[in-house]
Amino acid sequence: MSVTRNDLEERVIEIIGQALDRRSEQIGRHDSLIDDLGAESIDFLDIRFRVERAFKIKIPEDEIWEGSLRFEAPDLVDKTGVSDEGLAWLKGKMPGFAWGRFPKGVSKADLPRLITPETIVDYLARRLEAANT
Amino acid sequence: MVEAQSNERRVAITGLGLVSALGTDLAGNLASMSRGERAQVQYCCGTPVAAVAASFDPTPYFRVPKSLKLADRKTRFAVAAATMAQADAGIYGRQLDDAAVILGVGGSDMLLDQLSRALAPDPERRSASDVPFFADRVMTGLTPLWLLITLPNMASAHVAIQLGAGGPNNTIMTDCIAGAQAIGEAYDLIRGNGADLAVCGGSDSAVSFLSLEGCRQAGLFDSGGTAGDEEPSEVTSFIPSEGAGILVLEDMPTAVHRGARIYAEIVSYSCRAGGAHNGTANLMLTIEDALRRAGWSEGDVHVTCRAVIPARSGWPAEQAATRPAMPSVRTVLDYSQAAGFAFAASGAIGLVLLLGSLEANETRANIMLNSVGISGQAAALCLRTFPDAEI
Repeated sequence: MSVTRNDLEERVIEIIGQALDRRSEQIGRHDSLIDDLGAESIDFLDIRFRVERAFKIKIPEDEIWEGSLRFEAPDLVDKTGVSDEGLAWLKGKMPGFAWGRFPKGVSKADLPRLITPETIVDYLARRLEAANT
Repeated sequence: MVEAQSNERRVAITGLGLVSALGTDLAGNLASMSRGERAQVQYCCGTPVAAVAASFDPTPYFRVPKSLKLADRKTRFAVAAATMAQADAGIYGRQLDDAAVILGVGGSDMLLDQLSRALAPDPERRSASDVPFFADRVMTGLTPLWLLITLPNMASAHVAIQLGAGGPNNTIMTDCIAGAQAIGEAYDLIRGNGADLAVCGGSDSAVSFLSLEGCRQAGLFDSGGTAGDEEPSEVTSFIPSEGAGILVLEDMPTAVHRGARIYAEIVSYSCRAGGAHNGTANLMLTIEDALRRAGWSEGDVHVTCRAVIPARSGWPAEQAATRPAMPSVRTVLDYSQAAGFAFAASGAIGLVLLLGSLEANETRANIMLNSVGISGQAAALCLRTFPDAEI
């Protein structure tokens, strides 16, 4: 059974809502899980577990988070953080993200703050597509 | 537990909070008791069980709503009752940076429903002897939050988080005396200058299949219990229940200075393991010790509030449960007939109900709270309502 992108988005936002005690309509595709939705480290564990249960997959640690961004843009990060080219790529990919929160650029430590519902949807779409082929 | 010194501080009870099978707040409990009502019971493992109403909603009591997913039933009861006690003390929303939290709690049900589901893919029971297999096949089927939910200190931790209480934090697990002991330890802490304010009491939810089956196997039920949910033919005096009783304790001058309502003053506390003595003998020794520390004689006590498991014959505590521990006392409150016996929360629930009732009736009384556990440990506190005006 094929799952549409919209189905994926809806399901992921529902899962994030359950984990963070928020209604689906309070969650935007480009919201930062940490900055906008208040997720903490244990919430990431919870979300990953719920995603695994919902989609009957196992997700290696970190693959769904920074690993997903790096998969799409291997040169995203240089020695100090997100490169200028990487930031331009991200801004094009995440137009609704509040980039103003990083006036001095995105350091390595800031990477988890880039994780959004869209990050998870991208990851799942790739996993499901690979499984189908 | 330290001997009284002349420079020690006096300790007032200024706030009460309660969730029980009889009602989900103190006013509801008192109203139900005044009408002579009893908690509704259902049957599980062949014994009547009094559970907190399904309509109980912990959500309003969690300042950080997503913390609910980390809270099991006893933790939810504790947070709710603690928030009620905070509001009752007139300090809701106040910074409690240095406040202590000391709670007596029972064991967790270990999220048995989830654990059972996680074990289901192991019909050969290989996980019983193969730890790597258990970790890979069973633990990975459990929510990664399982440990955080089932750790025994979570109730006191969540109360501190939700109330913003940043002072000493302690969890006491001494089965049926835990709630009474927590109140006593909080009293000692304030008395010894360890804190100015403490949120204390007990919370428990021992009405799960796991707990009830444990009680049945330990022979705590009159009827011995059955494996089904049918009503037993033999009437039992032991109605397991759940809930939380939480109190706010304060340094007396501070409470008086801010114009707080003072339900009672705690005047002494004793807690003993009993050693070679059985539960009944140890309870009597503990009561005598608490009386001595208070400078009271047995005749000074007007009301005894007991938190003693009403178990079947043969158990050490049984005599204390059926025979008044202090024959000269005028009134013995046994709230468990109305709300069931909430194990680790029992002493705190009983005291909250008693103090609320005395306050409502403007009754002056010297109170003895006493409790003895299955292991023979005992705790006793002496309290007086309408403390001396001279602070």
